[in-house]
Amino acid sequence: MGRIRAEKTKDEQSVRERALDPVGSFLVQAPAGSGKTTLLVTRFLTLLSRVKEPEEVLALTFTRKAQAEMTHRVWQALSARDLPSSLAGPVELVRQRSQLLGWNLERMPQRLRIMTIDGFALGLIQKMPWSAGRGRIPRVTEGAENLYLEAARRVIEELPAEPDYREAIGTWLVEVGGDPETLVRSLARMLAVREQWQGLLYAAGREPGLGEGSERAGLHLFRDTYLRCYHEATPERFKRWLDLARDARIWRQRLDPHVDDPPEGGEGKVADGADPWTMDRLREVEYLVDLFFTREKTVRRPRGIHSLLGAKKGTPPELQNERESLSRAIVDELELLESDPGGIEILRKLERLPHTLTLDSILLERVLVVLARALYQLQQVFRETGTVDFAEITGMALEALGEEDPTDLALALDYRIQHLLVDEFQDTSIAHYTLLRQLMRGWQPGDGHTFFAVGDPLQSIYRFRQAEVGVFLNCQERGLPGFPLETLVLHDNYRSHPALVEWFNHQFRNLFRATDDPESGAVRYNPVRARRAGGPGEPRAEVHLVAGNAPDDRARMVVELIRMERNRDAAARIAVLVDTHGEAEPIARLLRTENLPFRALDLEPLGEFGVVQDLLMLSLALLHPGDRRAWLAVLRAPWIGLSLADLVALEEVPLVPTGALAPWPPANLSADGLVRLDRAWPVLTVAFDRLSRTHRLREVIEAAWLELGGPALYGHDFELALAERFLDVLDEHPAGEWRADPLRLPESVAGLRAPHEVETEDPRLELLTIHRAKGLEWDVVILGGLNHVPPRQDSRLLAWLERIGPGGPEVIMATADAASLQPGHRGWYQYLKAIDQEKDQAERVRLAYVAATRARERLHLVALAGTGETPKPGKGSLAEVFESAFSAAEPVEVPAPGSDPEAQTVAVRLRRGGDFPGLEWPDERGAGRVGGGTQILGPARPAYDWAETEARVLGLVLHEICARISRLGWERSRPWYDPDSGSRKRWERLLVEGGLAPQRAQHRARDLGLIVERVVRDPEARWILGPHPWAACELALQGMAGAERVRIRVDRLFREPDGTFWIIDYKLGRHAGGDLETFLRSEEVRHRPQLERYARLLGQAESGPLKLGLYFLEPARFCPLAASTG
Amino acid sequence: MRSSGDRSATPFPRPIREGGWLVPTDRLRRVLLACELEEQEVAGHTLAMMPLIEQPAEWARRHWEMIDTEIRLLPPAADRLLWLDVIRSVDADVQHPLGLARLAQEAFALESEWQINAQQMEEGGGQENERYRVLRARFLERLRDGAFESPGRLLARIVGSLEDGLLEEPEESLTFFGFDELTPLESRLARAARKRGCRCLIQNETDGRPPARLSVQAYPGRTDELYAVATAARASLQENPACRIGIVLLGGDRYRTQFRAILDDVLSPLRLASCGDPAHRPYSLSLGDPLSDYPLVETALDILDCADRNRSGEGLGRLLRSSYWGGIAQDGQKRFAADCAWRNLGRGVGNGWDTLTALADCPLDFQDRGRAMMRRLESFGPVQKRSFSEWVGLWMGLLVDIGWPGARTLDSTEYQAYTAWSETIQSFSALDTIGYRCSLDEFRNWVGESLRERIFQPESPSVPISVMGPLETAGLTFDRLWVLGAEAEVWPSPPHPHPFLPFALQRQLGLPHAGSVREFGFGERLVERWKRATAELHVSWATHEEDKEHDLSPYFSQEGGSPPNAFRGRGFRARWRGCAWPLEAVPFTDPVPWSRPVARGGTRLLEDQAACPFKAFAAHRLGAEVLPPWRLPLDPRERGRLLHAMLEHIGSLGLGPAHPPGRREWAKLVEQAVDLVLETETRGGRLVRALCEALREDFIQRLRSWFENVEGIRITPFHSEPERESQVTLAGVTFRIRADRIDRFPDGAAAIVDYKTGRPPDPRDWLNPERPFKPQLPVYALAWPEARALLVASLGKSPGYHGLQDSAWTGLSELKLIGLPDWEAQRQAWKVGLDALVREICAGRNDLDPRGRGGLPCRWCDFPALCRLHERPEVENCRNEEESGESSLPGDADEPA
Ligand code: SF4
Repeated sequence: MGRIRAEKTKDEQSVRERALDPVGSFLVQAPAGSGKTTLLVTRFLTLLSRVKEPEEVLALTFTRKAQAEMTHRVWQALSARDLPSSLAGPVELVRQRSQLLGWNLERMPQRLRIMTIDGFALGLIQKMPWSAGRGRIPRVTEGAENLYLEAARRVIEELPAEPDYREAIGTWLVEVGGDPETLVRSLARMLAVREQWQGLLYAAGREPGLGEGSERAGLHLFRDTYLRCYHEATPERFKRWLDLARDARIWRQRLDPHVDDPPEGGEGKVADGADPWTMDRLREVEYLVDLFFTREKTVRRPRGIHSLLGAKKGTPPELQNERESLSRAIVDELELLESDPGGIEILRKLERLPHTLTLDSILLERVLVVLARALYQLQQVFRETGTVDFAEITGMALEALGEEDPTDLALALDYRIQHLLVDEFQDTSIAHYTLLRQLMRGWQPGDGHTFFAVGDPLQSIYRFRQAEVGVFLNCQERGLPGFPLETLVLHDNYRSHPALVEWFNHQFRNLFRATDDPESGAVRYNPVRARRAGGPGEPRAEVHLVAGNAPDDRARMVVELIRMERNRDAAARIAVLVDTHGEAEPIARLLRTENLPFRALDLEPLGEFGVVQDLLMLSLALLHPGDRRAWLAVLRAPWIGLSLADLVALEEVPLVPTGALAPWPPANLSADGLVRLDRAWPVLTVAFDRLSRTHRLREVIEAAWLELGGPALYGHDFELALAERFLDVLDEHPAGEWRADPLRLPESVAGLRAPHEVETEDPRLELLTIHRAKGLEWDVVILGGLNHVPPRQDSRLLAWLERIGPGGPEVIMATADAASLQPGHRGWYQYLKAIDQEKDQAERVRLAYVAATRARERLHLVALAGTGETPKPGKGSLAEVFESAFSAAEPVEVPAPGSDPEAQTVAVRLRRGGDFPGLEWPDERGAGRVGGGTQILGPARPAYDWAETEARVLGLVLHEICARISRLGWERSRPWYDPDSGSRKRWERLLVEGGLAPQRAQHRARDLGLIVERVVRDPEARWILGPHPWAACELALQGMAGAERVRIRVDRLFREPDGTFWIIDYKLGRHAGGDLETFLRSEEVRHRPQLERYARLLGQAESGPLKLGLYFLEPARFCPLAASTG
Repeated sequence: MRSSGDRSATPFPRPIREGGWLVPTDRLRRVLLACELEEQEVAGHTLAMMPLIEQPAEWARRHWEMIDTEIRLLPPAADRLLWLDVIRSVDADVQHPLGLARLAQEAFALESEWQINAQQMEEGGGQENERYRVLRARFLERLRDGAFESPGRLLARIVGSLEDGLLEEPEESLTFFGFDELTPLESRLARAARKRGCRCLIQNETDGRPPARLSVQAYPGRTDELYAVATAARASLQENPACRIGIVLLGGDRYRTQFRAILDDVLSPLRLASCGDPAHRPYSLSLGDPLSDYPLVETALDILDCADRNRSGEGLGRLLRSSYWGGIAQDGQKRFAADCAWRNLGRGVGNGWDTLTALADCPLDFQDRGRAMMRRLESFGPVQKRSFSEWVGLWMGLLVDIGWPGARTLDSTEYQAYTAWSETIQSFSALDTIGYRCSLDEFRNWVGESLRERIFQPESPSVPISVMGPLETAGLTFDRLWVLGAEAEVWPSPPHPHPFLPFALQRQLGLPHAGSVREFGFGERLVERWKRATAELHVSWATHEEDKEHDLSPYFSQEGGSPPNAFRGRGFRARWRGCAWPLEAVPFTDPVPWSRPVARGGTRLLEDQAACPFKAFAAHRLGAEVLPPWRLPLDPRERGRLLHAMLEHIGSLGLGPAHPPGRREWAKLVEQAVDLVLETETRGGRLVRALCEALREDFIQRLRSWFENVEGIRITPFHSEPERESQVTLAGVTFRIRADRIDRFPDGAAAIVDYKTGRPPDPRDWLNPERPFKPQLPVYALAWPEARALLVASLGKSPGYHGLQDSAWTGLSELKLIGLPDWEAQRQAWKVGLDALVREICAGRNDLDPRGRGGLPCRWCDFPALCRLHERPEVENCRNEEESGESSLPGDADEPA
C-alpha cells in the first residue's frame, strides 16, 4: 500500500489541519514537545461530532496515565467555557450533536471510549469470556514473575518420561551449567517475553515440524532485507556494486580455480519456499561480501585492493589491463564509500545476513518442545491462581476475536468502531498491532472508517515491555495492509528553549542512523524547529564530568547543581533523571541528608530500608520460627534491643513462641536482656498464636510492631509510609500463600519501590527514572545517572526475532550449536543475536533522546569519569551515548564532607524500664455500644459428626413433617405422613431438595416410612404434635440476654391447659447399635445445656411452669428433662 | 423447610414489622432485624417473635415448600453443577467451566427476573449469546428429564402460582422495603399479591425526608482522603456516641484494604495490641474475605490435598506447621525443624508423605496421624470418578484421622468460620442430586472454588460505622454519610452488560450495568437517595492517584473550586512514633569473647571471618540459620557432591601419568563412573532420577574434558590419595580439615587438591596480605608440611588447575600455577594471618567489615537485617558501588565442590 508523505516544506499548521481531516487516516510522527496530545484530543472531538453514537470513536493509549490525561482533557474541553480557538470549533459541534442526539456527554464521561489498550482487551474478554477460552475473568497482575517461576519449576518438577523431552531438557540444562534452578530462571524469562515467540508454536500446531515456521520467516526476512538494501542504495548503485562483485569473483576464479560459487541455498537442505530468485540473491550477497569486506569483516580500504585481486606483480601480462580497469572501478567505489556512512551501513546489513537459509531444526524443535511445555504449565498456574499477566489478556482478546466477521465483532463489542485513534504508537508491541488489525478487519478504504496513530519512533523506549518500534516504521513505510495511511511528520518543538533545541539537533543528528530500519529498530533523526521565543545567552546544556568512580561524588555534584539552579530561580521545577533505580539511591540518600524535599515515584527499593527489613524479619520469624536468623534480627531490633552478648546467651534456646522460653532464664543472659525479653516475648507469643488463626497477617504483624514500640525508632514520617507499604504487601495475597512459603515475602518485597506520596513531598524537585519521565517536562533537567552499564544478555542457547512479515507477524528463532559459536560463522543465530544487540543499542540512543528532551530551560549531564589512565564510559551506558558531548569536559573533583566517626559506632535502642508511653487513644465509642454481639446459640464447640449428612436431611424432613402435622392438624396433614395418601412422593421431593440423589431419596423414603409410622402411632408424639391451648412450631424468636443479642428457633412450644409451658426439641436419635437407654441418656446430657438456655430465655416471657423435653424421632421416644430454669 | 410459628395467642410479643417484608440486600435484612430488636427493647420486651424479613429468593423458597408438586427444586449448588455438566458436554476444553457455570446461572436468573422471552433472546446476540442459548436448551432438557426446577426461575414460578391462585397461604401484607428499583418480575409479584387481596406496600426509609446538607471536598491523594474521612468519623463518634455513620466506597475494591488499615489506625489501634480483642472493631466493612483464606479452612484443604498420595508440595509443609491438628504447643519446635529439613530436600522429591514422615525431626504424632490417613486412603481404593458424597466422606475421614481442627479452643471467629465451612460442605451433599461423578481433581477444584466464592464475614457486634459499597446502602439511613472516591472514572460506574444476553436488549430493558445511560440514571437515583438518607452528606474525591489525574464525578460540583485539601493529621501510628520514647545509645557492636571456638564446617569459619567478622559471628556463633528456600533438587552443592564422588571413583582406579589410559578408555571409564555414582549416590525420588538422567551427558562431558584436557597433560608420575583428614592448630584452636585429594610424588612432595565446580578462584584471595579471603589452601599448606603445591581443580565451564606452587619444585611444571619463590616464608605469612584471624574470633570481634572483592560479602549475605547494615551507610556504599556496575572486578559465584 502506497503512502503519502507530507512535504517537509509544507507549513506545519497545514499539516496539523490535515491531520484533522475526519475522513482521512493518518500516521503522525510527532517529536517531543510538538503538542501531540492536543492534536489527538482535537481529532477525537472532531470525529465525535460526526458519529451516530459517541462509542464509535475509540481512542487507545498504552498507559493509564495517558488515558487519564486524554479523558481529562476531552472532558474539560466539553465542560469548559473559554477554549482555545483550535478546540472551540470542534467542541461546539460536539455539544450540538450531543444535544441533538441526547448523548448528555457533558455529564456522562463514561461514554467517551478512551482506554488503555490493555483495558480495552480486558473489557473485550469480559464481554466474551467463553470465546476467550476462559470462563472466569482473571485478575491481572503487572508483576507476574512469581507465576513464571512457578510454571518453569513445574516444567522441571513434572518432567515427563518421554525420552525426547528429557533429552530436550537435558540439552537446555547442560547449556545453563547443569543447574535446574538456573534453567528455571531462564525459562521464566522466556515466559515473560512469550508474546515474542509463542506465535511459532501456534503456527506449529497447524504445520508439520516445529521449526519450519521459523525457517519460512527467515526466508522472508532475508528477502526483505535484501530489497531494503537494494532500494536504499538506489537500484543503479546496487547494480553497479553487483556488477563489480561479479567481475571481481570471475577475476578471482580466473586466478584461482578453487574459488567456488557458494552452494545453492546455503548449507544443508533448501528451505521451503526458497525459490531460484532467492538463491540468486543469496549468491549475490556472498559476492558483495567478498568484494567489500576483508576476511576480518572490516570494510575493505582502497589500498587493500590487492588482497582481493591479487598482487599486480603476480598478474599475467595479458590480464594487466583488465586488472587495472577492474581495480580502478573498485577503488573508485571504495573511495566513495569512505565518505559515505550510509553506504557502509547498507553493506553492513548485507554482510551480516546469514549465508544459509536453513536453521538447525533438531535442536530448535527440542527447545520448542520445552517451551511448549512451559506455556502449558503457565496456563495451569494462571488457572489455579486466577491471575494472568497483560500479555495473556491480549492473547485472550485475540482468541476471543478469532475469525469473527465485522458484524459479529460489533455485536461482541456492543458498539461499532468507526474511528480508531492510537496514542504513542511507537510503543506498540506486535501482539497489540495484531489486535488493532483484528479490530479493523473488514475496513475498506473510503467506507467511512478512519485510523489515526500518533507517536514518535525516537521516543520508543519500552522494548523491555515488548514495544517494537519496527511496527511504527513499517506502517510509515508501507501503511497498513489493505488500508491506506497518510504519513505526516511534525517538526515544531513548543517546549524547549531554542538553544536547547539547537543542542538536540546537533547531538542527535549524529547519534541516530541515517535511515530507518524496522528490523533493527534504527530510526532516522528529523531535525526539529524551535517555536518558543528565546534569544541566545549562556549555554543551556552543560556537561559535568565527575572525577573518579564513586556514586556518592556524583550525587554531591547533582545536589550542588540543584542548589545552583534554586539560586537562579527558586520556583523552577527541577527533575533529576536516572537510568536505573540503583543510580537513584545515593542521590535520594543525600537529598534526605541535606533536607532537600523531593518527590520520587517508585524509585528506591523498598527492601533496602531499615524499617522494612525490621518488619520483614518480624513477619518471617512469626510465619516460620525455623528462620532463626529472623528471630535474632527481631530480638536485636532496637525496639527490643537485645545485645549481641545476650543473643549468644540464647544459643541453646529454641525460639519458638508457642509458650514460655525454655530453659528460662538462659544462663549468661544479662539482667538487661532478661527485662527486655520479659517484655517482648509475651507480645510475640500472642502474635504467633493470632497469626496462626487469622488470614489477615497485616493486623498481627502491625499489632506486634506497634506494641513493641516499632514506630518509635525511625526518624522520618516517610519511614512510616514505608512501613505502611510493607504492610500493604501482606494484604495483597491471602496469608495462606505467605504461610506456604514465607520466603515469597522477601521475594515480593524485593521487586517493590518505596512509595513517595504525591501530596506529601515537594513537587518542585523530582527524582525519577527516564522511563518514568516520558511524556513529562521540567524547567531544569539534571541527568544524574548516566553510568549504568546494561547487563549482558544471558541466553546463549536461543536467539529470536519477531517481525511483521508479508503475511503478518512472524517469528524467527535459532539455536546456538557448537559450530554457530565459532568466530566468523554467519548463521542465523549470530544474525539474530546481532540484530538484537543492535536493537538494544538503538534503544539506548532513544533513551538518551527522551531524557534530554524533557528539559524546557536547562539541561545538565552528570557522569563519572571513571578510574584508570584513559577511562572510558561503560559499554552501552548513556555516558557512552553522550561521549561526544563529554569529550571536551575535564573531570572535576567533588570534595567529600567529613563524617562523624562516633555516629558510626553507636546504635540507638529503646531504653529498658517501665517508662514507655502508654497505649493511649481516647475511645471513640459511646458507652453501651460496646459488645452486644448477636450470639447464635449452638454447641460451645463444634460437634464433630460428619458422615451424617443423609441423617441431617432425614432429620430436616422429619421436622417438616412434624411441623405440618402441628400446623394443619392430623387430618389435613395426612398427605404428609400417610403413605396411602401419597406422602412418600412428597418425602422424596423433600429429600431430593435437601440434597439426596433421587435413587437415594427413594431408598431413604422407605426408612422415613418406618420412622413416621412409629411416630404417628406413638401416643406421646400425638400429644406433642396435637392441639393445645397455645402452640407453635419452628418458632423464631429474638431478644436480649444480658448484653447479648440472641436468636433462637424452637421446634415445638405449647402450653397445656394447666398452664405448663413445654419447650421441646426434636432429635433424630439415630444410634449405631449399643444400648438404647444409654444412648438416650448420653443424648440428654449432650443437649441439656442448649435446652436450658432456651428455658432461661423463654422464662422471661412466660410466667407459668416451664418444662423441657427431647423427642427422639427414630426410636419414637419422648424424654422429658427435669427443668432447672434458673 | 422452614415454617413460621403459630401466630395466635402467643405469649411472645408480635413483631413490629408485621406481615412479609421483602428487602433487596442481606445487610438491610440484618439492619431491620436489629432495629426490630431495639424497638422491642424500647417497648420493654426482652424476647419477641422475629419478623419475617426476607430477600425475594428466600421468600420464593419458603413459598415453594407450600406448593404441592412432584417437581423437585434443585439446591443452588446442584443447579450450578447441572450447568457445569451441561457446559462440559458442550465444550470440554474451556479453562474455567465453573466460571462459565456461574455466568450461565446469572444469565438464566436475569432472563427470568427481567421477563426476557425466547424471541428476544434470539435477536441481536453475538457469539457468546449463541453459545449460551445452546447451553440453555440443554439445561432445560435436563431439568425436564429429571423433573427438576432451577432456583434461577423459582420466583417466576411462585409468582405464576400466585397469579393462578395455587399458593396456599399468601401473606396478609407484603412490604417491598428499600428497593431502588423493582425488576419486572418483582413488579409482577406486587401486582399479583394485590390481586390476591394482599396489602402490598412499596416503601423506602427515605421517603419524604428533606435533602441533606451536601459538602464536596477534594484531596490531593487517596491516603489524604481516607485519613480525613476516618478522622472525621472518629470525631463524630466522640461528639455523639450514638451517631449512625455510613461510609460508601465508590469504585469497587480499589482501596478497600487500604481503608481498612487506616480505619484500624484511626479508630481502634488498641484492638490490634495483644491486650485488645481483634474481633471488636467500631466499624463493619461490607463483604468479607473468601472462606478459603481462613487458616482453619486452609488446613482442611491441605488435608484434602493429601488424598493425592504422591503430592509433595508447600501445602504439606504448611499442614505440618498448622495449629489445626494435634498440639502445636507441645511439638512446635519439631514441626518447624522437620519443615526445614523437608524444604532442604527440595521440591518434587519423592512421595510426599513417605518422605516427610521419614524425616528424623518429624513429630511422632504426625507420623501416627499420617499413617491413619494412609490406611484410610488405601481402603478407599483407587482414585477414580466418584460421587460428591463419596469424596466428602473421604475428606471428612481424613480430617478425623489427623484430628482437625486440633486441640486448641477455637475463638469466636474460628468457630464461625468452622460453621460456615460445615454449611458449605453440607451443601455439597446436594450435588449427588444430579448424579454427577467427578475425579479427585475436579472435586478439589469444586471445593476450592466454592470456598473461595463463599465470602465470609464473622458476625460482629452492632457497630456505629458501616463501610459499604453503593448498592448496600439500599434502604438504610444515617446521621452522617460519607461518599468516598467520587471520581468521574468510577461514578457512575462503567457499564458491563452480561456477556450471555444480547447487549442491545439489556440496554433496552434497562438491565443492571447494561449501558452508560442506565448507569447514569441509576447513579443519579442513588445520589438523590443518599441526600435523603442522612442529615449530612460529605462527598470526597482524590484529584490524583499515583501519577494519574482524576475528575470529579458529574453528579457533584466542587463548591467555589476550593483547592485540594492536604490532610496532615494522621492516625495512631504517627502519634505513637511522635511519643516521647526513652531511647539510649549503645555500642553498635560489642565483641563477645569466645573462649573455645567450635569450628564447625572446617575452614568455613575462617573464610567467613575473613569476609566479614559479623557474618562469621552470626553464622557460627549465633547459629543464625536461614529458612531453606523451596527449590528444585540437585542444587550446585549436590551436583558438586556427585561429581566429587565420580572423580573419587576414577581416582580409586590408580590411573595417572604412570598408567595413562587412551582416549577411548577414558571415555569408557568416565561413563562407568558416572553411571555407577548416579545409580548409587542419588538421594531422592523420581524427579532426582529424571534430572540425573537429563544431566548424565553433562557429567560425562565435564569429566571427559577434565581427564582428556587437564589430567591428560600431566607428565610427572604421582599417585592420588582420596579424601584425607588432618588438623591444624591456629592461635591455640585446633581445626580438623579434610582435603579432597592428595597427589603424592616420587620425591616425597605432595600437591593438595580441592575440587570446585564454580568459577575459577582469584589468586589475590590467597595472597591478600591483610586477610586470607580464601583460607582453605593456606590452611592445607599448614596442615601438610610436605605440600609443595596447592591446587584448585576447577571443573566448571573452563576446566583446569589453578593454584600455587613452590617455584623451587618442578613436580607440576606442566600446569600453569603461580610460583612462590619462598614457599616457607609464604607459609609463615599465612600462619601469621590465620593466627590473627583466629585471635579475632576468640576475641569475639563482630563489627561490620565486609572485605574482599569490593562489597561482595554483603551481596550474598543473609544477615543484612541482623547486622543492621542500613544503619551504617559507610559500609553500604561499597555495596552500591558494586551493584551499579562501576567496579571492574568480576563477580564470583563460588560453589563448593
Ligand atoms: S551484610 Fe555485609 S556487613 Fe552485614 S554481616 Fe553480611 S557481610 Fe557483614
